[in-house]
Amino acid sequence: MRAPHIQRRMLKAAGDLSAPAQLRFRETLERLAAQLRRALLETGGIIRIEKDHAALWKSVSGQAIGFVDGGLANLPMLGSAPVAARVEGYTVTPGARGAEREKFFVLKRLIDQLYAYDEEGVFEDAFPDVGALRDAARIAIGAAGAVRMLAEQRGPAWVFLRGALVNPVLRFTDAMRDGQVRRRFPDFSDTALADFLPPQEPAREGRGRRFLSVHLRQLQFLEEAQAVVCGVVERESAAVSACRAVLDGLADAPLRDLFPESPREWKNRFRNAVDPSGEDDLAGRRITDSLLFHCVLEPGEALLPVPVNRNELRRAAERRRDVIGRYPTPRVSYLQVTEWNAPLRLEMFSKDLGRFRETTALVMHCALLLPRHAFPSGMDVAERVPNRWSRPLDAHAAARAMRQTLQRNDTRLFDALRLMLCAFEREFLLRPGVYR
Amino acid sequence: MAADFDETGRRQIGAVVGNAGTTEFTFILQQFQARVGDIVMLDMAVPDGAYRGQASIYVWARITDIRRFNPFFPFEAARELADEGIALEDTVLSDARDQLEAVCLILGATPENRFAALSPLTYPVKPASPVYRPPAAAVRELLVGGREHEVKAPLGSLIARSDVEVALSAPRLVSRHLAILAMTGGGKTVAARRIVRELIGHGYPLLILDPHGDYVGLVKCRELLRQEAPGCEIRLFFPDLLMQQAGGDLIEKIVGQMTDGLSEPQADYLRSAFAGLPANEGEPAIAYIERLFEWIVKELKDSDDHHRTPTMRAVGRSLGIVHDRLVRMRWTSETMRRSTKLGGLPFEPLPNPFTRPEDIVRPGQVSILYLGGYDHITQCSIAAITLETLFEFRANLTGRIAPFLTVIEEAHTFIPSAREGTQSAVSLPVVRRVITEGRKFGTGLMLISQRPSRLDETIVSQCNSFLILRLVNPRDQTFVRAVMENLTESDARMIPGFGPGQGIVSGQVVRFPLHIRVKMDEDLLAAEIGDEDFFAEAASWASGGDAATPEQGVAVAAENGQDARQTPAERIAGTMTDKLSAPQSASDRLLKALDGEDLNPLIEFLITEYGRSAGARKRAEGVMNLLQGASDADVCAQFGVQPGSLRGWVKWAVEAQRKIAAAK
Repeated sequence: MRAPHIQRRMLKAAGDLSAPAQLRFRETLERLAAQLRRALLETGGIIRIEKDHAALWKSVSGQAIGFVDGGLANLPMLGSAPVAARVEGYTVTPGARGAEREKFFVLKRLIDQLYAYDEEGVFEDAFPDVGALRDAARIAIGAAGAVRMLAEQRGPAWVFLRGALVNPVLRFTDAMRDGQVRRRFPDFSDTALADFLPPQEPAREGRGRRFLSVHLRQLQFLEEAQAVVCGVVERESAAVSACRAVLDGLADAPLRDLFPESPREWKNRFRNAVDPSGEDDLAGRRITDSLLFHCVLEPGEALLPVPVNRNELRRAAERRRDVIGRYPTPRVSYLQVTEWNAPLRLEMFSKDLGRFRETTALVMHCALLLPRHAFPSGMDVAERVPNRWSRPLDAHAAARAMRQTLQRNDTRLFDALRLMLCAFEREFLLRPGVYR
Repeated sequence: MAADFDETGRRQIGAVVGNAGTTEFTFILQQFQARVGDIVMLDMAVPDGAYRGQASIYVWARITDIRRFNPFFPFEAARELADEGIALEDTVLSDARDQLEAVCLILGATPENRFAALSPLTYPVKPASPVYRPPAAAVRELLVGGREHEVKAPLGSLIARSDVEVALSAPRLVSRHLAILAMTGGGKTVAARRIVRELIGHGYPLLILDPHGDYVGLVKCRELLRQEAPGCEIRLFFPDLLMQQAGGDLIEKIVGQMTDGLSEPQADYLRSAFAGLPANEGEPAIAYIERLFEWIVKELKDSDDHHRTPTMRAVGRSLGIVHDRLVRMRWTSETMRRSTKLGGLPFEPLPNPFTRPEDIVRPGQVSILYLGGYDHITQCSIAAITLETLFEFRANLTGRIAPFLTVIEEAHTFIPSAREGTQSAVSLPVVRRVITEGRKFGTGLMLISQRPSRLDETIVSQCNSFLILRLVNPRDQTFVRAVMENLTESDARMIPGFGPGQGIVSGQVVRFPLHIRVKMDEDLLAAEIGDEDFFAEAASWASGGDAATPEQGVAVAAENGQDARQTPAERIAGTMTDKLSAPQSASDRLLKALDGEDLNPLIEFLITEYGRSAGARKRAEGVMNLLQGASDADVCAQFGVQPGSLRGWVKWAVEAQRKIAAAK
């Protein structure tokens, strides 16, 4: 094992296992990481990015770079359920000076406002999977931030989204029971369509207003853009899909001399070891992509991208396959920036693979500047603004205010109040125009 | 950013955040819209007097601190940039989201239509209130509110707003005392000259105690000042230490300080001498000491009290030393006034303040008392006598002289703190009295010092107004915090960071503490005397220069029958110590050794020695002369012996006396 910090993460991953199982987990991980590293080095699957701030920033000087961070917002005094979706954008031109160097925007909508119900209010015509509604809103508004950025006349040369570039979308369809549609997944409202889609987009009707179609159009717009669009995930997940894709992509010939067993046997054994769902001791103890590549990659190294299809056609409902089939398959890579951080997961469209190296170098140097903050640009730093500036309203006062607005039967006022109350601290900082 | 002025000409620059009170609040400031020291305002509704409704007021505040930080630029980013030697602007890091958080000290509240009526705020500021930058006219009205008809002394402008002039209340300035405290280079002399110029413009009588000649150059600007104040006079005086009729304490203090001190019997004798030979009012101290010395010499001769003679001689010697130092200082002062630096200036002797006070204090006249050349003890004494005398003329209400303001430069010399040896400054009680009673009699003080911590705290704390410029020394800053009641902590923190001429003025001369930039009077720069150019002097010295050669000096002195190696002071002092050299004589030593004894057996013994031999006779006769008080020189000349022989004779006579006493 390369360093103690990896052991820390390993213990975290296997901390509730028995002592012998922990030992086995450690040995397994160590062996797999070593083998995979050998295989990748043999096949050229790892590239090295040299740290050179001066050269990197000189190479991107004068080119705008956009960062998009979407998410959900809630009303703390009423519980933790999100009521609004938001996206923030930051465009910066390295090497530029003056007021035009940086641009910010914030877009925030109540989740209710994004969906077109026959009768207003989410509680009047509730879709059973409220979580799906919220996630769909989060994904769509995040992509909308990138769309908005690229739709500008002089758009950026790179757009980095915080999160996956292409999300699994199969769950965002009608609720079914016994083969029948129980609840229809709601259409997006006119407001949402105006926010989410590129400008001058033709009017949409029917299914064209639903998430699957709208988000597909967003992804298509991003893919068509000249700019490199890249999703960056710094949070660890339980996914093992990248490991599988790497194994699938490894040619057998170079592996024959590396391991005693045949390449096919080695790959099968590797897949089972990474996801040992069959073993009692290690049931559920998958070696995640994040953990595995943290052990495989040295600081400054990146995995060459591999295709990871997160929306497999075979799993899609028959009537939605025409749409699902058009969802792009992102190319996924892992980048180890420092030995102390988990590797960053990068997702790009296949058309941008020619610029993978320079994009990865840019990501690495950005991350080196803000090692303890969320990628893309450390916009989460803004959340650490002293609370006294934007301390949430006292719960009692907020509840009173909401009751009063409800009593007035003014739904617009009520929505405006909710939107205001679920403000994030960062919005204060990102609000354009307040500083100059 | 385009200026967004409302109908009253003010511009919104931020909004109140956080917990606001009645004394201070915080607001988020838009970039580049205000600075520390700026005066801001906001609208507020407060309960009316009857608690039945609301009244609209303006709240006025001064920005005391502005904090700025960029939350998008954490420490690790800074370290990476520093390590790699790259600029933030060349990366993706944000530089535009830095936050400005301004802390404000509330000055008070006014009605919306009358800024002059400033009263304390008694209802807290409302959070989220817009904060405005008021128009200059409004700030000016606020600054002078209620004092429109007072005589003013413009001093400069607000640090943050060059369009808002700051003027001091001249009546309060001249009667209630002002302290200007700043380190060297802080701008205190510029500020003092600015104030002096304004007071000259109003024809107010000024007396400037100037130990280093910082103000003597004003005389060069006489014509300029006369254009502003027709008929004004700038007079340069050099002082002499004068005596007062009741100056026994003064002479005792001076003698005590300039020498190793007086023992109690010596001090007693000096007091009795002063009582026996009182000084004339206004008599020069040197002349009086010479008189007193002669009086003591005479007493010595006439006295047959051998027990007291050592005391008398000790006092005489002390007076000789004081005389010597005074003469030296007078000579040094003369030399300095004749130097290339001051040579062309029209110095004149200070008129006797006892007899001609009106020549010193007169409307339209600035009397600059140049104290250069005197040590601080003498400077204190001169200041004490002059100031006390003039103060008495005001205090006795005779109407002899006009009210006046005394500017005391290098005030730590005249009013040192207890740590500096308070008891040594004779000027201390005088200044204390003036600062306590001066308001009644129109004898204000303007104290100027570069070392506030060396000032007497009691006196400085009685100054009603302060102008604090840059101070770096921590002790000085602590002192200022202690004596200024209304100095806020944030203001105190700013003091070491002020630039030249920047400072805080507070107290009765202004309505509320202000951050000020003192106006530099460029046209008074001619008054700068500047420092000596020692390099030029050294170069000129090497090439001969104007300095007299030692040989020339010897020749001139020889013509006058003087020792060229002596200064005039040394020559004068020499004659006095000659007169008091007796205690060292053989006669004195002999008499001291035999003090109190019956000398008749010794005299009989000496007579028997006459016939023993020629040598014995010479020795016996010489000792007889010494017993009668003959000087060494006379005895040596009479008997043709060296002074060393006299020591042997004295020893022989004392042993003889011992043997006679033992035989009895």
